[in-house]
Amino acid sequence: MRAWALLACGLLLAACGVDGHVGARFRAERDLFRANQMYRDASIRPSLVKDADWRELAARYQGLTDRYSASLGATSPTTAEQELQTISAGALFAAARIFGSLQDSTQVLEIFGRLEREFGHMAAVAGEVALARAGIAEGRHDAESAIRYYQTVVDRVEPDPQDAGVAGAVLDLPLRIARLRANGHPEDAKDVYLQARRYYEDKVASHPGTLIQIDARTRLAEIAADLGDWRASTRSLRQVEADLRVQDPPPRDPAVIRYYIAGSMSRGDAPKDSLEQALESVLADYPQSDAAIQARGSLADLALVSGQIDEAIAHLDRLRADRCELVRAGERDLVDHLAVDRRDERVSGRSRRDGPRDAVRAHRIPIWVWCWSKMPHFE
Amino acid sequence: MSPILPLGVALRAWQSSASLLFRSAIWLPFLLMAGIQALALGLLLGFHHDLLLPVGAPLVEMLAGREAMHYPVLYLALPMMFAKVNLGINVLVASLASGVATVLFARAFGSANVGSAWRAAFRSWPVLIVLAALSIALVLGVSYLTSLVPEETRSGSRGVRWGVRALSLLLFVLVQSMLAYTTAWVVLRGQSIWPALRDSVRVAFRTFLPTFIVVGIPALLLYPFSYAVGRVEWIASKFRPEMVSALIGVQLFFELVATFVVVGAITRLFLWRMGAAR
Repeated sequence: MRAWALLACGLLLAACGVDGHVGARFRAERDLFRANQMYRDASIRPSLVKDADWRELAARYQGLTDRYSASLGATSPTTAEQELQTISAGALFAAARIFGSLQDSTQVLEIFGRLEREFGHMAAVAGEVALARAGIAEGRHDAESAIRYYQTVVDRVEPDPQDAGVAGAVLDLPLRIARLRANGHPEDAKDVYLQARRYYEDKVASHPGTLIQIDARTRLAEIAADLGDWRASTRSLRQVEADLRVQDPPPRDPAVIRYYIAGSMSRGDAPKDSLEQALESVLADYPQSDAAIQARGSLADLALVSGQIDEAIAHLDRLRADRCELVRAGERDLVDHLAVDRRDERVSGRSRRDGPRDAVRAHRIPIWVWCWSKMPHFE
Repeated sequence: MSPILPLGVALRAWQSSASLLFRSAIWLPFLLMAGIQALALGLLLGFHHDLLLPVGAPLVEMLAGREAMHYPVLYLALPMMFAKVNLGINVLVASLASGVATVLFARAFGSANVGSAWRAAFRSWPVLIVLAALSIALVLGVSYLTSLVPEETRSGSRGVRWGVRALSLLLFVLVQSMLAYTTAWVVLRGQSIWPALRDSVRVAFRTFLPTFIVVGIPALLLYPFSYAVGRVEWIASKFRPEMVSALIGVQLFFELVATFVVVGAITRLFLWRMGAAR
């Protein structure tokens, strides 16, 4: 009897601690999951889905928000209530995305307005809306509005490079703002970049040893590059690489940064020898990285530009041996290209004598040299 | 001894049990157990309803943590949660139900010296609870033993994986076979824990192959369900998360029928061994 009484008391105590929004959150998650599943199914062949069906799906998302946001109070929400708000706002975003793909800007702006009214107190939602509005403004070449919205995001949302949402995009925005402003007023470029630089320097100082610090330093390098200060850019990138190398596992590939360093040196008119050295150091220190492929290709490019065809071929031979699948894909591409050319020649009765095919013939460069020209290039 | 003989004995035992499938009185203890299992499953699945939330939410949190209160995590955690709840149901309710059913089967098979089934089972309930707990502890011990095979070894070879599963099932059937007659010894012969255990093992040894077949074949037939329930993530992603609860429901139904047949067949074998059957 005592055991039953204890069990009943225990259950009663547990029941007192239950957040009443847990049930609604579960139901909202279920409805969102089902709506998302319908969205995924429709997205397999979007062209086969009628506009009316897309609108019905958007209405389903909006209905979800109507159903679950009604019970929400704004003062000191519990965890479940906060998550319920996020789900409700997320459903509205999904509806906006559908209307956006239907080019129904009236509905999109209406939803954004509702998001600001009902969920504007949530920094992430306000940020997402501002980011979307900024994108629309940029599309309309309205740089001033875009800057204003981007600034709202920067002011309200803390950056988190690992976040897939707005927090993951924040670190890009001060630089984006600076570029937009510099485009409009090139004479003020130094001043506008200075503001962005302050933001990033502050992040570097306040987030030691984090991904934020690393990404902020990368942006500092970009700012220096935009201002043509290649030495400062190279210095920042070297620091980024050093930061990455002490982390295990590094959150970003240090080989890519080393490759960027070589790029920065090349733009800074570094001597060919030191450039070659920098690229070869990518191959030596990070042979397994994808950046090594790019470095090898850039070495081949460099050799080609200097007229050292044998050296270029040697690099491309190595490239072919190391990563033959990429080159084979390029070869297939070239074979297709040549087949089309031959057909053109038969039809027109003349041979085209320009383009990379002639370079291949003139220097008797193996086929993969041309293939390389189809791959991402070192700048 | 010809291997046909034990198979024949097992078949006769199943036949005796199956012939009582339409006796509603015998179904009563099984339906009690199934009803409680269904209630428990319903409580876990419907924890989010306002009426059930005060009891359901703490239960789900206790069994699988806060994450399980999210959709579709609830369905991924459901087999594990229900297995835990089912352990309690097996100890507290299934022990009583099997006691009642054993007496009802014995009476149906013509055993004269049995009184009221419910009264006899209630009188022996504490002993039955201890025996059920012991049986579950042994089954969990078997699971633990098979979990000692390193994960890398299992994931590296399909043969090893299926070998471990087969070994686990074999040990499970062996344990269940050895303890199969404990309930009969307790409710029909009024024995206490240790004598019931000792004599169950003794009868199981004397009737080894028929007992092994009677217990083992239904366990083998039910294995695909437990195998499928173990692959909830695949099921939830391929179909719908709700499929997991449907699968558990189907599994419960077949388990109910199998338990009916096995309890009846074991009672028949017990009475046959004791020479008490007509």
